Amino acid sequence: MMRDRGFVLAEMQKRLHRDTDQLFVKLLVGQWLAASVLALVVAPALLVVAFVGGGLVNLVPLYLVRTRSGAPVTRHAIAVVQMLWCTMLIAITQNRVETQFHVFGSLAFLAFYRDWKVLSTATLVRICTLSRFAWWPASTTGPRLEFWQFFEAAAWVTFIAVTMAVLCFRGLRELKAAAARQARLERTAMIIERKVTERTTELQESSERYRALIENTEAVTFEYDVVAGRMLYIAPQASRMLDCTLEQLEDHQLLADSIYPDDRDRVLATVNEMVNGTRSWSDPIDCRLIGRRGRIVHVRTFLNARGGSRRIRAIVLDITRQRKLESELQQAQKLESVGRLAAGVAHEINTPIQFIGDSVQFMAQSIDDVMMVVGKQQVLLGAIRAGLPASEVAAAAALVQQASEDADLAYLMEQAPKAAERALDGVERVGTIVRSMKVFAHPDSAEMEPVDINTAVKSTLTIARNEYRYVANLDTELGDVPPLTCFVGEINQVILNVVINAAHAIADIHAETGTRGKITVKTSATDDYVEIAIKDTGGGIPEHVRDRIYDPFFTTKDVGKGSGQGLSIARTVIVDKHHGELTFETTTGVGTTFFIRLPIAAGAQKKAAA
Amino acid sequence: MSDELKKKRILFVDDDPSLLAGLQNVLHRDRKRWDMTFALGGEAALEELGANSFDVVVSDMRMPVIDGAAVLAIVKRRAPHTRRVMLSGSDCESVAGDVDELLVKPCSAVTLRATLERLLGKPRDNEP
Repeated sequence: MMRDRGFVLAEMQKRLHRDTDQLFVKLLVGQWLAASVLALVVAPALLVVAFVGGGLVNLVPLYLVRTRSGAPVTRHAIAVVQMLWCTMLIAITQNRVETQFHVFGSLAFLAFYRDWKVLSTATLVRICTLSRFAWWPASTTGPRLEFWQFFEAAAWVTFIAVTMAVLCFRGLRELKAAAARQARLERTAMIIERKVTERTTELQESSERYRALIENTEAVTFEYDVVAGRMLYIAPQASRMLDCTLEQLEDHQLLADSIYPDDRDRVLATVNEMVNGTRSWSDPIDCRLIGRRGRIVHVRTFLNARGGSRRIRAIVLDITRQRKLESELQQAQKLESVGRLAAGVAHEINTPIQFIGDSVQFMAQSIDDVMMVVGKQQVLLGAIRAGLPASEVAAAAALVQQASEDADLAYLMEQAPKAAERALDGVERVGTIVRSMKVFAHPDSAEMEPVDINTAVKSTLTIARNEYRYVANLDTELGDVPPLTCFVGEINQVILNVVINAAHAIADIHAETGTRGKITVKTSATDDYVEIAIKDTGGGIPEHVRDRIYDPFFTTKDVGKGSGQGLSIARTVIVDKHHGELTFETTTGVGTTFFIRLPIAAGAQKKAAA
Repeated sequence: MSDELKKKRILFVDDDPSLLAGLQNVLHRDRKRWDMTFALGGEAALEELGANSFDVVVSDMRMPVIDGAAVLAIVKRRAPHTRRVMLSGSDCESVAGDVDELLVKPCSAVTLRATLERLLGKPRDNEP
């Protein structure tokens, strides 16, 4: 509650009045005892008056102090009785001049009330008692006062009273100032207190709001002290993500221990690089977490070091669903590219089937023809063995000759082996294409497996052959590349997407100028990664779309030629799933080279350990 | 010599030498009635077309540089009487320009021969 200046002043005055009341209680009782003893010693005639009368008179103010302490009537009663005590003491001491000073002392005491009215009452009472000496001396024990003596005494008393009243006013002014100060102080204190309360409430509300925000989303935030190895905070919904109890969340290492074993080294190495400042904090970290019940969750984690370099703050998002959708989308894109390739692959297979059929047909005919010749030869042989006449032998020989010529035996003997070879070659060609299709359409396994990248590249180029062979020559420079642990089906898809883009880029130029282009596919390896470089002599990527080529559904191709997912999926596969790099160099009018860099598993582990 | 003159002239065009060799083998027994020429690719075909006239041209569709549609279009322009056969790699390809016959690989020798006989047997400017 707010108190104004007047209220504070009233409060202060009341306290002052009560304190002064108490002072006078002691004074009145003291005067009563002192007067009684004094009377006993110097004026026994007045003992009864002093002891009994004084005591009775005292009862009035004492009663009022008890019941109405601080009230005006009380202090006025005190003033009256105090003045009566002056008269009593003056009487007991037979009007000693010195005792007159008691009046002045009493007035001074009464000034403690800081109330000029009390002083007026006292002055009035004193003047009244003095007046008896002038007009009714019989009622007094002292000498009669002359008028001028009376006036002088009254004037002195009045003078002292007025002086005291002035002092009272001054005191009151000080009191008022003090009250104003006090009220201001109290008001300020109250305002501060109210503000503190408001701020505290706001703070609590905002804290609650943030807590609600943090804890009612699926994202898990945490704060981790790297140096102390302590989890300072982890949002409770982590228990849902990791299928664990809230108590288990108190384990400081729970999150780190939940990283899928294959991902752990890489994640910890990445975090170390961030803490050491060799990697930007803005890179999200993708990994798998394995829950307490073995459920695998794909998560993307954004870290920041706003809490200082020793404190990591992070937000962990569950992207399992997104991963699943991506995987479905990728599968769809794969089917799309397989569908688009179907015509080309059919052509690739139908051509060898055609000449295999023709060659085998030719061989079958040849066998018939040769049989015919052989039959005639056997007749000739029989005629010779039977010792038939020369004319008949000659006739049989002529039939052999005729059959050989009809069959074009020389041609058959020259061509049949070639036809057989060609048929076998055709079978091999069909086999290669079918095997490539099988490698390309490799069912996506959940785990990476070691594969020879050169085989993957060759297979993919085989099935993509029909996409480029009419517009471009292919040049492969397959280097010595170690086995690479990867999802081979996905890598094949990436290579296919990039090669088809290369073929389309060249086809555009070819359509305009008629010149054949060239696609160069090169594989190489360093200690850390395997690189597949796919270079084309197409028109290059226009500058204004370079930033967007990896955007999903972004395409510059005509409707039906591409859905705009090829490079988006390539990036997901290479960067997100294999933690490799997908970059390109392009020059308008000269061509584009895409570089696919895949970390070699052993190298990556070595790096992580270092 | 009159026999030679009566022989029908057929040009086969494909960009795959094995396919041409297979056709040549299987049609070898028709050598006495047909004079067959095999051109490897569209450019070789155009050379042959410049040097000789043919009764039928059989061409593959998809070939580098000059494709089957282009070859047959040129044939149609230069020699409207020449029969044109497309021997296509897959039936889903749309064939540019009109042709007398569309054959789809793989096409058996029997079918090919019957098609050629039908086209050549149709009286146009020669004898029954």
